[in-house]
Parts: sequence; structure tokens; C-alpha cells
Amino acid sequence: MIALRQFSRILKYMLLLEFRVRDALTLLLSLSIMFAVIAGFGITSASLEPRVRERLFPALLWLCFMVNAAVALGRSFEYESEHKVLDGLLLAGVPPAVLFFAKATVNILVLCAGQVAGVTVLGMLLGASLVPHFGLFSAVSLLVIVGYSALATIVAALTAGARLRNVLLPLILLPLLFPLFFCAIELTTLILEQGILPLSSQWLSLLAGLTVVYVALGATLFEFAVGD
Amino acid sequence: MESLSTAEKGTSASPPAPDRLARSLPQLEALAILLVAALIFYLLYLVFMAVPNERVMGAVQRIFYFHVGSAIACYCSIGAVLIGSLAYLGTRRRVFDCISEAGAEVGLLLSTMVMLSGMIWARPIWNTWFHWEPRLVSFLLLWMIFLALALLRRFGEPEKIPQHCAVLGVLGAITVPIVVFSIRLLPQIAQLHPQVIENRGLRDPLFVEAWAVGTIAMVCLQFLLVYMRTRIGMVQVRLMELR
Repeated sequence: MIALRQFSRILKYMLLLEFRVRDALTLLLSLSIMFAVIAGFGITSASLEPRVRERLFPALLWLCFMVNAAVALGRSFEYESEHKVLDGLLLAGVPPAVLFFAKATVNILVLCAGQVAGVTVLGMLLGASLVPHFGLFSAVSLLVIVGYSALATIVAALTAGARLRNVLLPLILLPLLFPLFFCAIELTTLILEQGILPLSSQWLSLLAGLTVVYVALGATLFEFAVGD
Repeated sequence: MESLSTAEKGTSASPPAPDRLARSLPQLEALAILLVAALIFYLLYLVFMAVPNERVMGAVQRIFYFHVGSAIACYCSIGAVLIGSLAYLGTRRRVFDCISEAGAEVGLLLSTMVMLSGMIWARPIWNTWFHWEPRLVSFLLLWMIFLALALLRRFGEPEKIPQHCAVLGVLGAITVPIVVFSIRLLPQIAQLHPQVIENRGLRDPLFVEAWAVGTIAMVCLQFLLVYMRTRIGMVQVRLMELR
């Protein structure tokens, strides 16, 4: 109960901070739009068949999301690191797992906003629509975003004090994200082509398993990432 | 008289076991280096002098004996990273961080060797340097994980490098089996990589001998390199402490 109260207070503080600073959100939205425009222009120049464009859409969408989010979350711990906020909270007796869940939740919200922007712009430019499959795609996106956020939060904490943190985060995070990337592309392709998401799908099981593993690992290892 | 007998006792008494081990360490190390060198030379003899040409692939197939051994040694390296990282997080003893660092560096070297030897083999056989095939992709990702570990150690926050690398070591080591499993689910990627061992493709007894010697030699070399890099790491730690 105490942990829950601490979590809600820290979440409120971190949301307020993100709302005031808006670094990650602004970066992610701008990058998503920019990447979508460049990808759309490139694909249009290649004069690809509409069928091929549809096949490319899930890969482009998730590539855009994974790369942009990794770049944007590079500033995730910027303020906390500069002002030793995490050290203070840890000294005050806040469990590291509570800090992890609060930060990961803020990152989930930022990533959701980035994903909405990326899907809308890329869908419009490439003529692919996920509106008929909104529910299924949202469920898959949410699972991917939760897993991504858990992994990105812990890797961002590892690189927060590094000299080249903005470059280092994508370089370290992207190799670890490949299983999530495969799951996201395969499930989105399945949804777009067949309009279904069978619960027996191996990809869905893998995605759910990965999300649980990453959240559990993040909560366990965060202590070592931020502690002395 | 009494003092003499005490002195005699002092000189004649055998030193405690750890001291004896420390004294005989250089001899043991030299023996290990000689053993690994002998294995490597025997492997070279087998591969270039004894083993006949493979019927279909010809001389380029000989790279297989280095390639497979390096790949198995590479998995041993990720094991060293995982064990070293977990032990460091549990005990905070620098020796475990040095083991993890050594495992990552040797792993990067071995995975580069695997990728390069695979490419040299693939060019004449598949007519391409690289193919998006499950085993190749999983090894490329393993190489990227080793590279990420090296980058964090080089550019990370100096005071917290051991514990940060240990966290990344655990994350990376857990990702490897997940990557291997998830890539095998991909439907559009065909299994092109030869399944020599699984399909019992080594018919000639000399092929089997060269493969076994190659695997043992590369794994022994990996253990030796990890051990030596760990010792260098410990010396570096002591130097830093003295400064």
C-alpha cells in the first residue's frame, strides 16, 4: 500500500516534469513525422505497386517507431541525472522498483503519443489504414510499447551519466529489441492481411512472454542501474 | 638449539595450499598455453594436410572446422559474461567484473571470426556474402550485443562501469536465446545454413576428427584467452587502486 502511494506520487511528479520539459515527446513526435515523410517520399519515388507498399507498411512503421523512440528516450533521465533526483529519492527510502515503474509508465505514455503520430502520418502517406483493425492493432501496440518501455527505461538509466548518452542509448538498445521488432512486424502483417489476431499465435505468445520478462528484469535490475 | 630447531621447522614446513598454488601458477599457465598451441597446430595439420577435399564444396569447406569451433566458443563467452555479471551483482568483487569483461571481449573477437569465416564460405557456395537466414541473423545480433557491451565499457559513466556492464551483460545474455528462438519462428526466412551435425553429414572419420579437434581447440583457446584477459583486468584494477 505504501509502495502504491509512493508510486502514484512519483508518477505525478514525473508526469509533471515531462509535461513541463516535453523533451522526449517533442523529439519523438518530430522524428516520427520526419521519418514518415522521408519513408513516404522514398517509397513513392520507387513507384512500388500498392500491394508491395502494403507489405512494407508494418516493417516501416515499426522501424520508424523503434529508432525514433530510442533517440527520443535518450533524454529520458536528463533532468534527473543533472539534479541528482534519483539519488535523493533513493536516499529517502523509495524502492528502486517503484522508481522504475513510475519512469516506465511515463515512457509508455510518451511512446503511445509517438506511435499515434507515426501510424497516422505514415498511414496517410502510404495509403495504408489501420482504422478497421483499431482494436487489434492497439492491443499489439500496447504490448510492444510496454516491453519497449521497460527495456528502454533500464538502458536509459545505464547510459544517463555517459558522455555520449544520446548516441549510446540507440546503439545499446536496438540489438536487444530485435525479438520485439520481429513480433511487432509479424503480428501487424497478420492483422493487416487477415484482419485477425489468433490467441494461439506463437508470435502473440512470444510478445506477451517478452513483455513480462522485460518488465520483471527491469524491476529487478533497475536497483543496480541507478544505485552505487 | 631450540631456536635452530624452530628455524629448521620454519624452512622445512611446506607452505599453505594457496601459496603453493600461487607459486606453481606460472608453470600451470605455461602448460596451458603449450597445450592449446599443440591443439591448434594439430588442427592446422588435420585441416590442411590430412582431411580430404569435400566432394561438392571443395577446399573452401575446410573453413568449417574453424567456423563451428569458434561459434561454440562464442556461446561459452556469452556464458562467461552471464556468470561474471550475475556474480558481480551478487558479491561486488572486481574479479567477476573482469571475467565478464574478458568474456565480452573474447566473444566479440570470436563472433567476428565466425561472421568473417561464414562470409568467406558463403561467397563461393551461396554466391553472396550474407543471407537473411536464421542462424546468420542470430549470430549477427550476438555480435551486436558483444559490441554494445564493448561500447558501454568504453563510453559509459566511469564510476559505475562495472555495475552498468553487469546489468547489460545479464540483459544481453538473456536476449541471445530469445533471439535464436524468435528468428526460427520467421516463416519467410528459409533455412539455408547447412545442418551438418544435426543431419550426421560428416561421413569420413577424418572429417569427424578434425571437427572434434577444432571444437576442443577453439573452446580451450577461448577459456585461455578469458583467463589471461581476466588476469590483465585484475592487474589494471590493482594499478588503479595504487594510484
